Order: sequence, then C-alpha cells, then structure tokens
Amino acid sequence: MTEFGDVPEYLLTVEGLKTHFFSRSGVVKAVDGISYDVREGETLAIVGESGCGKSVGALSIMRLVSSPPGRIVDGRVLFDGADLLEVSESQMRTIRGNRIAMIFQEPMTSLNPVLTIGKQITESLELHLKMQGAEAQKRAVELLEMVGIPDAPSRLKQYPHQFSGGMRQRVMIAMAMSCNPRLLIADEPTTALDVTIQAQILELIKNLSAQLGTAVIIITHNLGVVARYADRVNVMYAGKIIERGTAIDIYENPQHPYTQGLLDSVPRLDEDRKRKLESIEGMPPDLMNLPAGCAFQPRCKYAIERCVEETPPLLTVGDGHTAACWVTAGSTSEVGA
Amino acid sequence: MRTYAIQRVLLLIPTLLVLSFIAFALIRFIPGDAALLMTEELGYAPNLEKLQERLGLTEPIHIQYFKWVGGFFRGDFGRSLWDGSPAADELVRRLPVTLELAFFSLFLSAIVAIPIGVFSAMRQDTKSDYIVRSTVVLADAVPHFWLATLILVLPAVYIGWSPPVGWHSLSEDPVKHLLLLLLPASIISVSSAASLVRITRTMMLEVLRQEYIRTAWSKGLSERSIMYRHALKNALIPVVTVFGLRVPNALNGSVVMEAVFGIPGLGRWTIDAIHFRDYPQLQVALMFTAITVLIANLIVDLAYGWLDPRVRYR
Repeated sequence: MTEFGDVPEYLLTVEGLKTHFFSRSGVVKAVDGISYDVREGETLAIVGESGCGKSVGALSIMRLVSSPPGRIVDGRVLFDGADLLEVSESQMRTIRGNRIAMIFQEPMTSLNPVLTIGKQITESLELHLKMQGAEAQKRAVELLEMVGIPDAPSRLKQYPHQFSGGMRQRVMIAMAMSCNPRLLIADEPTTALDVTIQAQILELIKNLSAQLGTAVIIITHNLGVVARYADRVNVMYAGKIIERGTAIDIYENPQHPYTQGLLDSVPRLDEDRKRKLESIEGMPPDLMNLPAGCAFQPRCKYAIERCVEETPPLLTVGDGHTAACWVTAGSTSEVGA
Repeated sequence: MRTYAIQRVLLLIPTLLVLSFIAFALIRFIPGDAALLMTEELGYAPNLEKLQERLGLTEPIHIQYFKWVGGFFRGDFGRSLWDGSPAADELVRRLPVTLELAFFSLFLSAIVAIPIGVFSAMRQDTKSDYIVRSTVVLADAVPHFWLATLILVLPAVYIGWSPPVGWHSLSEDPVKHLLLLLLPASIISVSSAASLVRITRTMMLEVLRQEYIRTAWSKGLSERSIMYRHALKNALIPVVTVFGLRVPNALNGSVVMEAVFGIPGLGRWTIDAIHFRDYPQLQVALMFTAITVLIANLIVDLAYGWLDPRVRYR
C-alpha cells in the first residue's frame, strides 16, 4: 500500500474504510472495513445487491454521507497523496465536482427543477475553473455536444422537466465531466433508465473516460454492465468486499460462493439456454445484527464450522484475484491484500 | 401561463360582485340607521321619515344596492351620509397609509423570517434551532394589541421614553414618516414572521432531503450557495402561499395599530363608519380592503410561475 507522501501508484486508495449509521435502535455497519484501489484511467465496478453498502462507500469517498446519522468511523481515502478524510471541508470542496465528480441513479430527481440546465452546468465551471459569462456558456455548449445532446445552445436555457430521462442523465454526465475530473463515480447510473437508453449511457461513459483518461468507479447490481465495461471488479456483501479480481476472473472463475450465486442467477448468452436460473437461498443479513463469522455463512451451502467462528479475510486465489472464503479460497492460498 | 393569468384576472369580476353584495348587506343587519341616530340621539332634525327619505334610505333595498353597485363600477363611490362629502376623497387620503403600513410590516416579516427559517433548517435539532422554534411559538401567540400596549407603556413608565407619535406624511418628511411607521409595522409583522419562519424551516428541511441537493454538494458548492441558490428557490413556493395568506392579517393589524399610534389610515375611518351607520363610507372602505387582498392573492398565484418553471410552461 502507498504511504502518505509517496508517489502514488494508484489514483485512489481506500484503506479500511468504515462508515456506520448510528440510529436509536443500534449501529448499522453499512461499510465495514473495505480496502481497494483505482488506477489512473481504469474502470472499477463495485457490485452487490441493494443495501450491501456500495453507495455509502462511494459517498464516503466524497464525504457526502449525511451526518447525523452517518459517520465515517475509520479508514483512509488517499487521493493524489492526500487523505480525503483528513483534509478541511473547504479543501474538500475544491476536489468535489472538480477532480472527483459523481453521477447518481435517478436523473429525474438529481437535477434541480427550478434552475436551467445552463445554470447547473456553468456553476461548476465558474466555481472550479473560474470561467465567466460567455466563456462558461461556450464550454457548456461544448459539453452538451460532447454528451450527444443536439441543439445545445437552446437546450441550455431549458429546465430539467423539458428533458427525457436519458437526456437528463446525459446532462448529469456533462456536469460531472465539466471540469475534467480524474475520477468519476457513477452510482447506479442506468438503473432508472430504459434498457435501450442504458446501453447508450454506458457507452457514453466508457467513451468519455477513454477519451479524457478519467478513471471510473461504476456502482451497479447489474452483472451485465460489469462484464461489458469494467476492467476490475469488487463484489460487496454486507458492508465488506468479499471478492476482487479482473472482470475475467470474476466471470470465468468466481471463487466466493456469493459471487457464484450471483452469476448463476443471471442468464448468459454464452451457455446452454435450457439452464435453470438459480436463486440464492435466504435473505441479505440485517446490517445491525450481523451473523457471527462470515456474513454469508447462514445462506452458504458450503459453510463449515470455521465460517461461523472466524471472519475470513480476502485470500489470494490468483494473480490480483482474492476472495474472502475459508472453503473455496482457504485451502489453496494464504492471506492476501 | 398567459391563459392562466387571463383566467385568473377574469375571475376577479364575479368575486367582486359577491363581495359588493356582502359589503352592502352586512352593515344593514345592524339595527338603526344614520337618520335614526341623527334625529333621536343628536336631535339634528325633528322628522325621522323626511330625513330617511332625503338620505335615500327609504328606497327599496334592491334599488339601493343596484344604484350603489352601478355607481361603484362607474367610479362614483357615493357620499357620506353625515357630511355629504364624496367618500372617495377621504379614501384617497387614507387607503395609501393603511396599505403602506400593512405592506411595510409584511416586507419586514419576510426579510427577517426567511433567513431565520433557512438558518434554523441548516442547524436542525441544535440549540439554535430549538431557540428559534420556541421563540416562534411565543411570537405567534402574542396578540399585537397587547404587544403594542406593552411597548408604549413599559418604556414610558421605566425609562421615561415613549415612541414618536404625531403624523408626518411621506411627502412632508420621508425619514420621520418611516420612523413613525417602523414600530407599528414591526409589531404587526411579529405573528406573520412567526408563520413564515415555521413554513420556511419545514420546507427547507423537505427540500434538503432531495437528491438534487446531494448533486449540488457533489459539485463542491459552498453551503451558502446550496442553501440560497439550490434549496431556497424550491422551498419558497409554499412560503409565498403563506405570505399571501398573511395579507388580510396585516391589513387587520394595521387597523388596530392605527388606533393605537394615531395613524390617519383606513382603520379609524372604517370603525367610525360602522359606529355612525355611514353606509357609503363603510362600503367603500370594505370594498377597497377586499380588492387589496384579491390583488395580493393574484400576485401570489402569478408568482408561482416565476418561481417554478414547471408551472410557467404548462
């Protein structure tokens, strides 16, 4: 792992991040000690079912977890040699929207209904790039054209309700890319869109990131998205990363029973059509009251005694491929990253 | 939006007709008329019937009504039954004073209440929020006539100071004029400010939960520009509604404060008209107060379009 002050090997390094929510009935460990890194220009997918902590983990990087009740209780987020959890709020504001940008799941409600699209795009330009008036307008037109919105000059004067869902997500992307961020965090960017539009938006994100050299963290529960667009994948379950590897590792050779279960539950084009889709037995755990040992153990058909006694760390199963499972990974390997 | 505005203006006509009927009928429910007061209590004239006839009080009631309404829409507001002067003359002098006082108080309540409401929402559930919230309850509960009495009496008793009285018109001495109005306007504004703080706070809390506020944070904007540029404009729509609802209240308060502070507005004049059964005078006072409220409501409705593009483009 990179030390503070070293030339960063990675654009972003998250170490032992813990974000908990403190409610009257107890502590919800939404993110419970995750570590990962993102290289310059790569696309990292974070996969998991609803409530596994993937969105909270991303919001924690931006320090946007609503507090109270949420609090980042531990960990480091190294970006460009600085720990984002330590910098002042005003320094953080110069990073948000400028060097790290974010797009959200719901384009219908993520744009401010009473401000024009132009205003919403130019305010970032004015704030971070100190552009003004005509210059900012010109750049805003370029941005809309870049994300494929026709008739950009007149579209700038319009309000979000005059755009379709897909177009709004394009506007969100234009806003996010406006200051040429080094890292784009896309939190379920296509979940609320029609299937045909989903592909267009994902292609757009992929092309822009390649063109501008932006690294992307894409948060999704759609494994199809992962297969097509991600370089590397983190699979999350109950606030922890339980498997990590390249997209090929995850698809060809899933090691964690949960990852295997996820893959068995989606149809694939490259296999026998008659295969029955499997579902994972049981329910996701209550984050306030996690089972002992491995959080997946109550639902796992391979569970052994050790799974209840001891939480498995990420164990190396291949080059850059790790999985947190005593059974499938434990026999062949030692403790990894 | 334009069609909506036109419809909204046209709707004023039937409303005004209904109002004219109420203004006309209301005072006639009170027993006794001006002629009766003049003859029996003051002995101005010996013959009641003759006087009633001269004042036009013996005509059938519907004829009286149509004469008055007809005159009203032609700009003839009738004459005082007591001194025969055109009611419009006095109205022109007094109405602006009342309007000024009422809208001055509304203006004060808005500029004080909205920032406090925003602040209270930003600091939700902190000590300052609790202080604001309890002060608001208190402010809402205090009747303005009582507050006015306290403010007049207490300093006079304890420190020998009393607020300026007397009257200076705006054209005569603008500074003294505004200073004179400041205290009564502030007193009227207290309860309006209380409701505006409350609705601003509630709406801000509602808006701050919206996803576009998270987007605004993710852009690196300062708390200030998120609150005032992104949140407040969304929160303001119901605030404007409440503001509109406070207009009758402010007019009502003006009437009381005019009596307390000796301000020559519509208030005293209206009360006198009731007292002396001066029908034309009261009717014109009621009509113009009502028209003020109607116009204020119209402006509020049109303001939604200005605040919310979704309304504007419908």
